Amino acid sequence: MLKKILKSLVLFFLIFPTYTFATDTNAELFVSKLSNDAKVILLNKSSDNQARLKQLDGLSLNNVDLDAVANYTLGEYRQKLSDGEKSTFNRLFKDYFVKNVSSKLNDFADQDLKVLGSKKLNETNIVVNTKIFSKKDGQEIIVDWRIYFSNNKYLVRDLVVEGLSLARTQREEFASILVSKGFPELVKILENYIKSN
Amino acid sequence: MFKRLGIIALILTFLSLSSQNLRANEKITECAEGFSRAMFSFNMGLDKVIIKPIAQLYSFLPVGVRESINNALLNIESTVSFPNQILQGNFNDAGLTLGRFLINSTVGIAGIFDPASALGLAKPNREDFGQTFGAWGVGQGCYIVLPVLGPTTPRDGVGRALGIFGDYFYMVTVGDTKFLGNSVEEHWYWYEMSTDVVNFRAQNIKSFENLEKNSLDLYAAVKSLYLQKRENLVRNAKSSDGLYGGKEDDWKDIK
Repeated sequence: MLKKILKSLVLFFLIFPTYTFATDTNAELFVSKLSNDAKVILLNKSSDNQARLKQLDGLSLNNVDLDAVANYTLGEYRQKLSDGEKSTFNRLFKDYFVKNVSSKLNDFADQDLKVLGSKKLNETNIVVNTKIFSKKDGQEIIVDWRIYFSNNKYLVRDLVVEGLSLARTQREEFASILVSKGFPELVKILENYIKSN
Repeated sequence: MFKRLGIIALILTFLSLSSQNLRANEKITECAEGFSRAMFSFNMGLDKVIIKPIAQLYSFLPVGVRESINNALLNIESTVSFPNQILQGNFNDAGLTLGRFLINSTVGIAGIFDPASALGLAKPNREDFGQTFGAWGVGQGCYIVLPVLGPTTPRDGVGRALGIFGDYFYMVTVGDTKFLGNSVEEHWYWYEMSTDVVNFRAQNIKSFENLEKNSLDLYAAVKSLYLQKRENLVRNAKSSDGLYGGKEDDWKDIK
């Protein structure tokens, strides 16, 4: 019995002192480049606001795992939808997301991002830790990026701002509409948002 | 004294009846959604007419002045953090809070300046009685929006009410406790409370405008953010720590 305990203890200390999360410098570079690209677009004074928004739309489409985020935001309701409904939702979600993010990025022009480090959760999922500094009001915000790596490409899946997950907030917002009004109403609300923005 | 302890014991018993194991992504039900949505609309109206315009004016103050006000508010609020850090067994943070309070209240002129940070005393996490209940394993219960006071849960509501008994600033202003042998007038408590509301609102003008503009169901978005924030405060998490990678990572089913 004592031998068994000793063996387990030795094993424990052999494993745990060296057990740390691996980092992923390429994911860090991806986040850094993405924020620089967004700033270049936002600070480009030669293009008008409409052109800038279009460029930001392209940036989101190429760097966010939109199908996965769409699936995530449907939550448990995902199982209840037909393939046709899912594809309608994914199409609408893409337009909604891009418009939503572009509008948020407009506030990013006076801010600087610094990559602090990263943590590999598994082979495909990485968290990149960053800090955003606002020059205007001297505020510092901690932002974590959940990155997905597949087919040699990094894609953003979630942003966690000061511990608040944007994807989770979106999922709970959709869930509230789905539970009280149903899927057809969510589709209508998304269509109205897209038309009016 | 015994009456007060009796009330506290009764509340704790009530809370323990609804206690659950605290975990990330805990699902919170509504106490009375219809009432909460109505109160949310009422509070939004109040914000539009009174709080937001004042916060906008407040935002015109120079950054240095706003920082000083923020420092003073944090200094006063640390009188609530201190007993809660002790109740949570976090004596290290309690020591830091006390040290910071003594230095900033004297050398820092009533907390307007923050010499404690310059001396290497880092800001510990802010704690309140709702967080203490959470740290003791009491679940949030249901979600409700109260008129003027805003979003809360039974755990946080009871924490807020009990907070009065453990809030030194409340005791020396509204209560009968003397501060260095002197009485402090009650209105200072209400000045501090209203400045805190305006300061918080001013810090979030841009983000809340964005949320209002882009939310499909603003009530649900605010509910989610409030509950996530409270979860993080209980776990003392300021980033995605504990959110990803574990058994409860709700991304694990997404391909």
